[in-house]
Amino acid sequence: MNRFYLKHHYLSIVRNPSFGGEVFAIILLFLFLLSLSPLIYSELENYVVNTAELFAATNGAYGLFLSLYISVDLILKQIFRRPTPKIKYYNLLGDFSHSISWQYLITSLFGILPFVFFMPCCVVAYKAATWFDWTDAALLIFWWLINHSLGIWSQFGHKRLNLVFLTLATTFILLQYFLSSFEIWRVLFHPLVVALVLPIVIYCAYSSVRKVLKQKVINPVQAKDPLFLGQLNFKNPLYQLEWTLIARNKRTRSNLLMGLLLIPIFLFNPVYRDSPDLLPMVYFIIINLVAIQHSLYSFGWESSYFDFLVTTISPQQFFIAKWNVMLFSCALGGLLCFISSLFLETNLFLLLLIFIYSVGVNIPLVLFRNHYHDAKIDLSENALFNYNGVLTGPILVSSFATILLPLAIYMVGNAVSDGAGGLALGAFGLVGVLARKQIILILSRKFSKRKLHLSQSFKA
Amino acid sequence: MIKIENLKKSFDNKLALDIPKLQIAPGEALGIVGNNGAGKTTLFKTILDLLKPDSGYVSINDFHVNINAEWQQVLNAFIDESFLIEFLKPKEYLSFVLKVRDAKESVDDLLQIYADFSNDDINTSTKLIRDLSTGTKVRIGILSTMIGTPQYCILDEPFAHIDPTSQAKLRKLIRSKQQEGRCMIVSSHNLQNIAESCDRVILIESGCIKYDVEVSDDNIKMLGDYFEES
Repeated sequence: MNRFYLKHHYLSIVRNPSFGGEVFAIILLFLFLLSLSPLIYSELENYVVNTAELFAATNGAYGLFLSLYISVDLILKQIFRRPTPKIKYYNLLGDFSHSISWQYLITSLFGILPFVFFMPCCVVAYKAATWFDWTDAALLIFWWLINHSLGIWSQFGHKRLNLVFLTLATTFILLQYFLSSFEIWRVLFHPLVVALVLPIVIYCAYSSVRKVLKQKVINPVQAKDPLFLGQLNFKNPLYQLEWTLIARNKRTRSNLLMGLLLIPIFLFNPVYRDSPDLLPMVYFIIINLVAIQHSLYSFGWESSYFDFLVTTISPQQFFIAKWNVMLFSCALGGLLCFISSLFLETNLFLLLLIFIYSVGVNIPLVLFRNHYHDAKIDLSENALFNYNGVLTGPILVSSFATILLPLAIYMVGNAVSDGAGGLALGAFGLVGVLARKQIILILSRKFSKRKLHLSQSFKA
Repeated sequence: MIKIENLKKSFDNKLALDIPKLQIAPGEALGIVGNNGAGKTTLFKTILDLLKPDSGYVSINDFHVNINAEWQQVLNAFIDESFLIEFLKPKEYLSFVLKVRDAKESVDDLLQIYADFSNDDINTSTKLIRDLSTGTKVRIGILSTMIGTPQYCILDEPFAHIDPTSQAKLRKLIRSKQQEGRCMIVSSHNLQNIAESCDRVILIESGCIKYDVEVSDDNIKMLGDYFEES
């Protein structure tokens, strides 16, 4: 068998700028799942003992198996996604026609692996949800399952609609089991109603949103009025630029939509709602969702026109616009949490303190982190520090810094004195809010000093 | 006045730019020619404060570009397509630049003024810039440098990707802008384009200025001979 294809496939994997970040994420996920192994094991053991004692369980074996299973699946999806176009390209080169059938066979086999995995994955996820009665692990698996179905969807490139519908139907039927675990869903819907109605509702909502996005943003050829910016018509062109970026970058758009979908799952989940430590985490995630995502992707996307910005717009204007866009997004997240709090009788004062912290500390933190590149972005370097690594490296750092750091402050504060954690967050945030002007000035100065470096870093 | 003094820039110990003195007066049409890797873009990037020189300085209207950003108000530049914002449509991009430059005219006014140089690809296109051909992108970039009333315009190889008709229109455009009093600094591989659009031509080789001459038939022939012999 000609090794040409495998060799080039290997290179395309290791040189994929996102590869390092994704492997890192997979390792993190794997370690997290592994840490849950004892819990998974004990639940499995109960299940095995209580049912038919089918397996001879060894310590942690099932948890380990589940962790490995998901990790390997993610890796395979990363490595073997949409392989056939490459094959066609190599075939076009004309040098390897003798081995093309082998190559098709190999890539086709790899291509169907996710499908082979899909059904057992559904079963495992469903069983896990039943066993754990909606613990963190089940939520994690549910998240992974959504990701998995989207991965399968992308395999088709939206072309083979029947299979896409089949995948969607399977996913949504499964979804209703998960949703029916929530008390609120139990009250509102009978599982059977959910099973029948939910897929249709979600599909209709999706197609409507997609239609609007396609007409106005994704495929503007079909739009009647081409001036999207003109429609928004902000006085400051930088705001227009930021919002257009959110709307037209498929990663920001899809992450934002996915994040918005997650909000009700977090907010209405009794596990988070009733926990005094987990609820602040949910607030932090929701309030900072757009700020983190947008900051990451906007800085990443600016790579394409960075020179224009740095030779035309002052760093101060640049940062003020970003800060204000993020402030607006934090306010939007805060509003969502506020509305949910009215129904769920949670601590509104704590929500306010978390909002202040997010505005005063997290926004400058994210802005500072995401324009900070020491080395020229070079595709031969480690993927985490590469062109797209602008996205993957900071996302991990930013997420930890913006969510885990304040949580640590909150918990330490509360350990010292009850309620002191929230007040400490509010105090830090207030300092940041009051010193906004100075912070922007400092960021601008740092940015100006690094402008030359950044300009070169973004040009790879 | 753009002043360059003792400007040196090296990459990996290889000298990319070495210009002891260069002055570009307002209202001039300066052409810069040179082979690939001669240092034309490096010079432009240094002028635009996108590269830090190892020594020397660039000043525009007595403002050192790396110290004071006032020069941003008097200079428009288009180096390559990466200067464009790829997820905007042509008219959106021009509208954005108009707003950034605080220009009073609307996009339609602008396209009307430069009707010769813009065509349907720009005027009625609903595609995003990233989906346009390189030639169209270059024309959008050139149009964007015409926005407002800058004293200086820098165009790096603007003739490279555009069709012969657009090249002829661009030559006329450069001439007309220079006659309006704008300093046009243009680089090209094509001596003929420079000869027809500029008054003064500089030949750069290995980062050094080999010739700095007025445009005339004899000088253009001399520069042509230089390229043939080198």
